[in-house]
Amino acid sequence: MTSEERYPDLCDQAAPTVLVVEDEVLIRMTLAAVLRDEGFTVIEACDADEALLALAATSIDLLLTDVRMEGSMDGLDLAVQVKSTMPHLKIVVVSGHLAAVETHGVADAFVPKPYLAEKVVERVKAILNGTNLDHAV
Amino acid sequence: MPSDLANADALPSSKTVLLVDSEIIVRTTLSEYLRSCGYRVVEAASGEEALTVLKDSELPVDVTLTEVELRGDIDGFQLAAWIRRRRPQISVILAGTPKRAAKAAGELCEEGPMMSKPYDPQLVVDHIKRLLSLR
Repeated sequence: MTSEERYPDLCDQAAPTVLVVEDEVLIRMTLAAVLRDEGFTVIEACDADEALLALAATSIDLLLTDVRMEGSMDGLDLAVQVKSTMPHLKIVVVSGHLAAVETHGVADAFVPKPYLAEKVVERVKAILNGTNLDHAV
Repeated sequence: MPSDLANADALPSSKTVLLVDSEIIVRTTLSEYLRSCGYRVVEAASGEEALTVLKDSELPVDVTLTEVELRGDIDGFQLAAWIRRRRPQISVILAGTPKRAAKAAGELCEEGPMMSKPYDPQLVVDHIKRLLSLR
């Protein structure tokens, strides 16, 4: 995809771009706001289908996805698909019902729910800086 | 609450737009445009999400810009009607196409915090059309 075809012409691409995939709008809204406060460019998707559209259209540095969502696939399936097609892209999975071990080999980090948005942001920063050591918070 | 969504008193010049569009490319592109002219923007992918924001959050919304056709059971007209009944202080803009939504966003920018458009809304429309055509 050429740089002309990517929407980032219209937004700040100096900042890393995080794709937040979360079907609960208030959670998504709060997480996106906290990430923007920290200087990230954030794209918000309400489900995996929207996430795939965004991934096809824009340059994403990190995928942050919930697992349990309505739609054609859940967040773990999305992460598996992204891992296989975009191996350079960092992935953080959040879930209230999975164990961290279930995301090994797919996600760069796992965050159990409930979480503090600030903790998620710390983890996102560490992964993008290359300083993330532990798989789970 | 994150400063991006903080009480308007903290950032008196910033207003909040609730942007409702079921097409992520349109929603994301318009959101970035509005943010670049100084608005706080909350994004909703459906009428149901918009109502959740309006009913359940303490966020003060100043303007709702909504597409008419939305996924789910609530369309833009129904959302607008709800807002006029329950939150009449919120301005509602209904847009039937991305072009009209971009035009409305341009007008919001001219009267918004920075009172200028960051770039021609036609660029927004062209960009959206280009991305949608790639599918």
